[in-house]
Amino acid sequence: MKDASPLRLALRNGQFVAGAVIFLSVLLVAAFADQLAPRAYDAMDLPHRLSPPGPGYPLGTDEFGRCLTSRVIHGARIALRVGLIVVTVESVIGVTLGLVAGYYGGWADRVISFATDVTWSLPPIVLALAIVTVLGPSLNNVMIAIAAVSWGGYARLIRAKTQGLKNTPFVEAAQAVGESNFSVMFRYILPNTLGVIMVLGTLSLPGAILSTTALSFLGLGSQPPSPDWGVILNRGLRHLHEAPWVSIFPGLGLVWTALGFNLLGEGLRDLLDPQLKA
Amino acid sequence: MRALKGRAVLAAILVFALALGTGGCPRRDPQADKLVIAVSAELDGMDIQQVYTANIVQEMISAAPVVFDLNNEQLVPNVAESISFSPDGKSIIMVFPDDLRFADGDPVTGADIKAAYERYIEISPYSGDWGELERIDVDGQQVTLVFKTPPAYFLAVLASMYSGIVDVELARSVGNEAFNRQAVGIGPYLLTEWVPGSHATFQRNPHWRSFKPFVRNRGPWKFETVTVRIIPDGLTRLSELEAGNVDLAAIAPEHRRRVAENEDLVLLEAPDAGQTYLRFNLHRAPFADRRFREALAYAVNRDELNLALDDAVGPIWGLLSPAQLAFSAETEAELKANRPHDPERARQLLAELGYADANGDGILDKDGVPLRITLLSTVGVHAQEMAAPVLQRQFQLVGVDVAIEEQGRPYVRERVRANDYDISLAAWAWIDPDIWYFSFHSSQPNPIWTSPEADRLLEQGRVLMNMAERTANYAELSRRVAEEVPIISLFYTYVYTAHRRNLRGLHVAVDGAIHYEDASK
Amino acid sequence: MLDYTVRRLGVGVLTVIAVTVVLFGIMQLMPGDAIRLIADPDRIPPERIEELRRQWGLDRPAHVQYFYWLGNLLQGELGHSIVTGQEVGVLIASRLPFTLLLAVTSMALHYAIAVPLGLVAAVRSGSKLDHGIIVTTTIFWSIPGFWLGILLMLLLSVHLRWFPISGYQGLSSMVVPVMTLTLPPLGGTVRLTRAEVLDTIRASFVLTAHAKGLGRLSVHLRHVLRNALIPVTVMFFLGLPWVVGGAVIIENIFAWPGMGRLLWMSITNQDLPVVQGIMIMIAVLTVVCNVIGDVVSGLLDPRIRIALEEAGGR
Repeated sequence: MKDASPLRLALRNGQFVAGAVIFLSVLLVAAFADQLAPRAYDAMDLPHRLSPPGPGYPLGTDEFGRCLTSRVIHGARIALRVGLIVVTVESVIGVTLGLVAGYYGGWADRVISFATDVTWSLPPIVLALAIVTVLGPSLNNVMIAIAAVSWGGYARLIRAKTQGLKNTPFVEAAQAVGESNFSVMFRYILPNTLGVIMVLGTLSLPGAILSTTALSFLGLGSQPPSPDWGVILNRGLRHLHEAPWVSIFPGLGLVWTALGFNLLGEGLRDLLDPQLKA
Repeated sequence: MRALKGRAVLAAILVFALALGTGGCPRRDPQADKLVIAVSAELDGMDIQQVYTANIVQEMISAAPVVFDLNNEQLVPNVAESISFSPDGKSIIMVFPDDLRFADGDPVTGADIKAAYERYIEISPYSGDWGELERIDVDGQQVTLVFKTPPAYFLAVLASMYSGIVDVELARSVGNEAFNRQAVGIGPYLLTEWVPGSHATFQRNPHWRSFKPFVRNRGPWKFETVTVRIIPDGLTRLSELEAGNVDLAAIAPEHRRRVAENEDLVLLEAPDAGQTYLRFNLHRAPFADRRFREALAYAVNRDELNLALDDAVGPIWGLLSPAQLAFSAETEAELKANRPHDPERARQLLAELGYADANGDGILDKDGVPLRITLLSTVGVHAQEMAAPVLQRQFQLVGVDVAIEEQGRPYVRERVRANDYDISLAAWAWIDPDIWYFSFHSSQPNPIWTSPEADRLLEQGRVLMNMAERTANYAELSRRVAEEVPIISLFYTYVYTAHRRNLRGLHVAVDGAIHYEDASK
Repeated sequence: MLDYTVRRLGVGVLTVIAVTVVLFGIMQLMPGDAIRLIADPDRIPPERIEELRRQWGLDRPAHVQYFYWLGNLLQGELGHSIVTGQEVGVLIASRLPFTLLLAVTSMALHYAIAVPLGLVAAVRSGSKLDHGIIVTTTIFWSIPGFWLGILLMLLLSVHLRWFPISGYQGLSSMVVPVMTLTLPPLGGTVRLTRAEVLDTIRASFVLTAHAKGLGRLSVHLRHVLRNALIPVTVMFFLGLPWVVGGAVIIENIFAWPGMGRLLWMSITNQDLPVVQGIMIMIAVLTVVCNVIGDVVSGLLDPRIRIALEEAGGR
């Protein structure tokens, strides 16, 4: 048991394996969307609008007679891209601020911690809505808004980690040989926090995807012909009675993706940082 | 103590939920003296002179002095006893009954009516309607509106809900803010309660009298109370109507067939007096050229728009739709024949302008710049939400790449006002063709397009009191506009309303306006 | 303890001020004339606009303007809706009860379900029932609230026709939105309750009670529940603003005439005075709830406070 390789450990973790399989399935669908989709996602077939699932259209059609299968498949691409971009941006902001706060302490710490408290004091979706109001509805603006309000978790975590690492011998040694503060933060401390960043990043992916989809659902994110799952759900609501399939399948894609990242994140946490477990 | 176990709690919740469900939902049939109407739009306010969009609610509080007859042909009295015109055609003379009262019982004189219209001019967002007014003369119960020119354009204003008469004295004493929540006027009902976002209830006005010639009942309506429920979702309105909780409701087009199949319900269908059109920004480069606009006009396939909109619209080529005043079927047929769906012609025109698909991506380009335009459309307006992607595809088929930008109504208005757009979907509903004055006359702040000839026709249209002459005048304007293509007329929508079969005696005008005087259950 | 309360209140006030600065910044970023936020230039004569401009200090530098704005805010002057011309305060006041009705009912129901489930899971810890509860609540946790709302509407209102589909048609309209707000976050609370109860069970005084020969169930209910309910009560206050946040989206699915729907309509209409008013409203609500929650938890064992800070993230 002691000499088990990381890979073997990972494969023994049920959550990690399940999460990885789901993630891979979404990734493959997104990567090969053009090959997998039976039709172009924006090709209209107006005489067959709102057709139920059947041989011609496996998941049915939407209000323009567009193939729902193709739209849900292409939606996976948007969901993944959105999730990755939001998480990257929010983690860069949060990690940098967390490093600065933890490393310098004092006023920098107080200001950053207060800013973190403020962003945490409002429900993120509400704050994001305020930002979208100013920037106007678009997917990019929604991504900016979500990233701008959700870096708090990273900042808190990295701040605590940095405070712990600051006084370890190897950091003190680096300072002694005259490494700049910047170099100490990013070359000595940061690499030691990559594990937790990865775990937190994976765990916040579903949240990022769900929040942007929710805003697209409200009509504030992706704009119409886009096969964004939120947009499909938004338009499907009007035809809930005549064409419930339009409201069901994109949601299944969303749950599948969110579940995959949740499992993957929990698995990663067990593997990389058992102390993180609450 | 075991009651705290999970299963018991779940059972308790279920019982609670069922109790709520059965307790509130399928109510008894409303009694015969209660009318329940379901509308889709949230209400801005109750004071007709302060709201942007009027609906049934303001009509019940403050009725217009006159209305159009059921064929939308001529003005007939409503609150006023009679309406006539001076020999020179410049004055509208209305006589009101001696014992006229506001819904709260306060007597009304000619001076009160004058005050109501002065307040309209002062505070209404539509005060521009009165631009040609010279003065208002009052002689007892006779009110004369004196205009600088014969006010042909004004008749539709006078017959609209916006000319509803409100109690200015009360508005002054309580302030506009409070009055907008609790308006009182001359109307068949008095507002008793308004829960924003939910409903408004009304108590019958015992003093009400109507002089509409086509109704038998000249006295108060037959319903002691009226409740107007705000139900934004179409399916909910339909279910409430089917369940008998609502007597009359606006119906979403996708539900009209289900209504038609229901024995208990009656479906009313009427073309809306107005249209949805595509507006070009002539201040921007490609659209400044008439041939470019013409190319896009040939690219439009109205049959596909009909299909996408589930046949709940009628295609239109000219400036006017069938339910509007001065509409001419001949002109419409002529314009349709002149501008058929012809994508080949569209491509040819674009090629003449120097556009070619150099890189073979299906998108035309000129000097290495691909032809990309943005289509601005209003979010939440179903007809536009459906039309935009269809137009996008049709323009793409002739090589023009279109991005759709959906925005809220005020924002679209702001962008259009600032000429910050490429092409924009737009719509309005107004019975009189003079609505185009604001889009095409050179005196307006931001006309879409102008020409001396159009100015002349628009000015002429405002003053021609003879309907045949007026129709010919607007036919000519339609032709000019079709030649220059500053807009592409697309379609008018059908408005669907349904009521329970036991609700009888409604009078429905050609444009779908409903008159309730003789209605009973 | 008083000192702690005062400090928390101070942080709360600071947070509200920070939120107003952020909102004011947002207002400054908006294109166009800031007077649009107070009055609609289409409807108000130019002289009056100039007067308003002076009254609101819009001819002064930005930081001066901020204090004018804050001053007006403190007097309850939130401006007027650009779209309907109504006073923002009045508009919000007419919608707030609907949102609170939804949020408080959901929270109450949420705990009425989650606490017993957590208790059962803890008492039967390791059993199939325990696993079943945890797995079921985790699945709900992965379903996006707005999609769950659509599914419940489809099943309960469209197909079974048990409840009105949307809008406010009386109390029965509440059932499906309340379920939508109640179910997804169950996972978190069930886990928290379960962990708290397990901790308390392990605590010595319960063991003592056992030793005294009290029945198993009675021990759980009398001692364990009382101790475990305290953090749960605190979580109620900390969680309320989040439920209000969640209601913003859920209200729109069900056309619920609350603040969330008003917020969404105001955003699509770029009706900034209303958006600002609602944001400030939610910020104040959040801060007040946080302060209450903090103070309540501060009255208790610091161990609980730490646990709460860790668990209160979502």
